[in-house]
Amino acid sequence: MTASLALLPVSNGDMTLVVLDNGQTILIDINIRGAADDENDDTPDVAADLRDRLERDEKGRLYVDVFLSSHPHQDHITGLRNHFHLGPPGEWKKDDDKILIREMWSSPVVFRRADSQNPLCDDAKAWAKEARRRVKRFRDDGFDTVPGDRILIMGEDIDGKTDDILDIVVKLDETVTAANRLKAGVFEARLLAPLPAESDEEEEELSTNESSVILRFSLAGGGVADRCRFLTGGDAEVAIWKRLWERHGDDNADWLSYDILQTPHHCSWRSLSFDSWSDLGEDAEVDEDARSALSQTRKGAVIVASSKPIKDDDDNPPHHRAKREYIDIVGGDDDRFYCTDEHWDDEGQTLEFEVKASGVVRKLAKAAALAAPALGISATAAHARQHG
Amino acid sequence: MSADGLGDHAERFLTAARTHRECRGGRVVSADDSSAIVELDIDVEMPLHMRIDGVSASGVRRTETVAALLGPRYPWSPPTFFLREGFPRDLPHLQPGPLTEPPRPCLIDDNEREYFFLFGLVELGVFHLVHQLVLWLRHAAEGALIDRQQGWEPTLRRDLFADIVIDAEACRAAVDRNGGHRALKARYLRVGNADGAIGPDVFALIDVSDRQVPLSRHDDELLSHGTNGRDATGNTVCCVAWPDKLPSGKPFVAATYMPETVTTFGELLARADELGCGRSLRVFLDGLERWFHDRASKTRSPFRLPLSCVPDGPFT
Repeated sequence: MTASLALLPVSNGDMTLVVLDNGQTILIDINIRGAADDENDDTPDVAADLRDRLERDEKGRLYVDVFLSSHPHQDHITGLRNHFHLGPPGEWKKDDDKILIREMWSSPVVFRRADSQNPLCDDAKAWAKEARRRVKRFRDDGFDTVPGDRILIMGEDIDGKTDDILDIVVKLDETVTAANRLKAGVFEARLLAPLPAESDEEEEELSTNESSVILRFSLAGGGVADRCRFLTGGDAEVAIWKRLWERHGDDNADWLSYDILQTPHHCSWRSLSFDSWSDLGEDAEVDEDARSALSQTRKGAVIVASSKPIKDDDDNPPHHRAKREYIDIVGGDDDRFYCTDEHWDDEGQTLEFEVKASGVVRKLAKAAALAAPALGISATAAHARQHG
Repeated sequence: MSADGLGDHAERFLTAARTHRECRGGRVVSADDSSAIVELDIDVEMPLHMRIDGVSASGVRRTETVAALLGPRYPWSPPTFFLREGFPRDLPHLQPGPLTEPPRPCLIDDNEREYFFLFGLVELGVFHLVHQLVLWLRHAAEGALIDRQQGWEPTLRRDLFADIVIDAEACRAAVDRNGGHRALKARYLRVGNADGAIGPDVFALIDVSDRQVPLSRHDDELLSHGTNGRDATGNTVCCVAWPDKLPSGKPFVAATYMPETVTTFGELLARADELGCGRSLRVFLDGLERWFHDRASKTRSPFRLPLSCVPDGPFT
């Protein structure tokens, strides 16, 4: 099994599958829209793509070892109820054939009530309900809980709501090294956010995009540790990145280093600047601290915008000025900047990087996928061959 | 075939090759009655930290220009791909050849002609060969031309005109912890002009038995030579040599590929030294030399001598 990162084309949304060096899987967010489930629609069928990448357990259930929800927004959780089994694992139904989540990784916002300012979509409500069910299971049975009942909380909640379950809480700045409680030495993920609020005013903000979980993964490839660093931060905006740099810039800047960065908030301008683009246009300035937090590239690093195609217009996200800034971060080399939907349009397959002993390599499209648009034929029945 | 005709084929080949996304450029370099040469600029995927340097640790460049040779029978025979002159040769799945010729990748673990025609349309055959070339270059850049999970892979020798038939398992079984060699009785057949070099017009076959021979000075049948018109047959002896253990007592392991460019006896001895088999090979050659000294006054017949070095490779 080759370790890999697949960034599925879900327009303005996130859906990333990390396959670890031991074959375990970590899914980060989903955005499986109705159009993607419609076989008569051209929207990439990301659910089928995901299912093709997963394995079944001894009971015939497709599963992910971990599902991380960065934050409960529609473009990060759509499709949960349609495609994932929720409830006790014993209630999984063969006819439904939904994907079992062995272990949830959830932001502590599941302990908070939705309000008029932060309404939750139905899938987000379902996530929160399932998370609370699993937390109760832990309170009842502790570490006797089985795959399908397990959960980790990414960060402590306010007001001591997580104080009695600290065994399943990952504290800020600490690392996770086990997926579904299996510690195989194949990855490490450092929790960089959500950050604690520093004021009541900030507390209001923390229930929106600023509450996104930010993790910096270090992945083994081909048996070699730390072959790929992947920084992913949901929809975290400029204030969070600025604070991260203030916290870690002097002593722990390496915690933010990456080979692959998933641009926060789908290449939004609001992740890089406090200035309004619509008011200031090209006079709007990038926040230097936030930029520094997002600039800790390792040699040859690439940046990926999980978004619809980026055009030179006022759309935001994705924002063309933000794209320019990210390209500048990777040395002005636009070959090192990817957009998930553009990649799909160009190559007809999901953008994927393989993590090997030799390093991180972009996966080439299959011959059939390349030949179809190039030569105007529907498909060719050839598999890549070994060399002679 | 008219010059115009092959030129048209070259242009169509280039058009088909350019449909592959990783083929970023190309040009028809030459076209005449007998052949055409088309250059393709291939973008090579490689680990990110190497890609930014423009060259992989194994010496493969981010953009490799590959020459495709279209022969007079194209498109009824597949094109042949040649890499640039300075392309690294210490890689598996490269056709063996002297340094004076550009290296040739072996793209398919099967007959390239059959693969080329597998897809019905010539354009599809070209596209898929270019795709195999793209994969080959990527694997070369990663140092992954051999699938290590598979264990070992034979490298096809398409253009060799001299074959040795030998029991590989018996060779492996002969190897022990200490260095050594084994002399095996063999027969040879040589077809073609007696003065010609082994090549398209001269073919040689050596059939090695499992019978050891002691290189005895009294063995008059050890080497023999007979002719029948343009063909020659006779007895010969085959040497299978294996490496000494290292001074540390550990076995010698050939952990890297060496370029298959040996063309002279001196180069063969040097390669045997690199493989840790030099001492064993020289012991064999000394024995053979003594046999010759005894017979120097008796015969001046030519003979054929196959030599084989058996290192303990990481994939065998």
